[in-house]
Amino acid sequence: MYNEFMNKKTGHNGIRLWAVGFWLAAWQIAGMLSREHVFFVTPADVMARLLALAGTPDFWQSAGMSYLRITSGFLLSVIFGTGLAAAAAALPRLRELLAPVMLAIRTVPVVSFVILAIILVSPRQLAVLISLTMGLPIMYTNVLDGIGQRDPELMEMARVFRIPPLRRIRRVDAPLVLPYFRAGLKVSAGLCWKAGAAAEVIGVPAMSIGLHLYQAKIYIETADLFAWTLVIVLLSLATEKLVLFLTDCLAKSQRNW
Amino acid sequence: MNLRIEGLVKQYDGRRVLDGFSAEFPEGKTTAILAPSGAGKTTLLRILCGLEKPDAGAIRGMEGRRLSVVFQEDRLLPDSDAVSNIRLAAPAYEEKECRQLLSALRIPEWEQRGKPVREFSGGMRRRTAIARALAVPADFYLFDEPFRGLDGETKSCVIACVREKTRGKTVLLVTHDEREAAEMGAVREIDIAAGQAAQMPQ
Repeated sequence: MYNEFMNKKTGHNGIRLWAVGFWLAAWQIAGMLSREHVFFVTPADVMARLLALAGTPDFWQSAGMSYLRITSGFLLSVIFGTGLAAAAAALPRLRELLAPVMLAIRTVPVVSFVILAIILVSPRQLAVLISLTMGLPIMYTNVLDGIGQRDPELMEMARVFRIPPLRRIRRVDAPLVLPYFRAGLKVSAGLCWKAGAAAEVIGVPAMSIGLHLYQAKIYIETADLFAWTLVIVLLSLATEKLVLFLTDCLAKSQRNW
Repeated sequence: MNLRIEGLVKQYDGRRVLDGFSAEFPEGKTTAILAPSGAGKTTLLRILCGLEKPDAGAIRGMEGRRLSVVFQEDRLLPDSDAVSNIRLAAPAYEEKECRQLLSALRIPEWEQRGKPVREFSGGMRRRTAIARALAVPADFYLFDEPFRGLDGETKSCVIACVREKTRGKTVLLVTHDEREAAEMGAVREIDIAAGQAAQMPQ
């Protein structure tokens, strides 16, 4: 089932290197043609600025602290989302109770949450809380959908053969839920980084990417803005790839033991 | 202790699938349950497995005893290999024993480990499901059309293996085929539709 799901990935929606090259070249040419414009920077300018920033300890401290805050929120959203989904699958009343909350979190703009949360928590905790809040409904909904897709015939088989609950979850349930869990991770990781970075820009905690983005805006440092944005994109992609890799390893290890 | 079913009733949406069915299954013997489709054979097995509750009637002689099943569907983990599927239900069964059993059921050695069962043919999946049921140490074996999809020499070989492995156990064999019942050494045939039990010719 996990394999079938993964095999459906055709690669037609994947990112091609030539397409990235094309857009970078277009950006470079457009930037070179409008050199006199203060807001317009080329990819080469951004890379030069990024390399310069990477040579300072402040860059690594800021990127590291932001990574820590946002991935903490993301991991908490995975833990709570999965736990709540498992509980809600077993308890229909809890599912009914949580439905409006999850809908509200999904539909309320991120900025409203950030403004409300900044009153309640310190700027350092803001990104953690916002990442958690944004990732939670995605993980919850996906895992709950996955649990709903379990094969009733296999559940009966497990019951008749008296397979202990933990082994049943690991061998029978998990392979069916994992594709949904994986899809949740993929969406949630990106969203947590977007929301977490936005929270940092509003909360401006010391040693954060958000602070540098804020300063880039104040001093109209377009190259800095792009360089820090690139850092966010790279960290977001790294988080996504790492958790998906670990999930795929877990799925493989569950098949035969 | 014989397995006794007394006045079993089960209905779905007002339609009675089992209507006061009674029968006795001798301990340590194979009993064949024969009936046309829709007569309630699978419902009876589901009740015996504890997957359905009867509307009325009683089952005696199963308390505290373990059962093993070949379902009408294979119900295997598609991404796991044959050995893993067996050991999921029978963790005490060693890999070597699994391999011997699978070989006895004519699943080639190179197909037993590492190949997910979803890549198996229908017949091989069926034989894996049979192997899983045989690996479970049980007092009762419930077989719901276990040899469906098997043919010729393979079928005879599988039946011989199943018969050997379930010797001295109580077996309920649901089948359409009287020859299968005879090959399995069934001592009794029960026709659910008629609600009567008849002695098999020895």
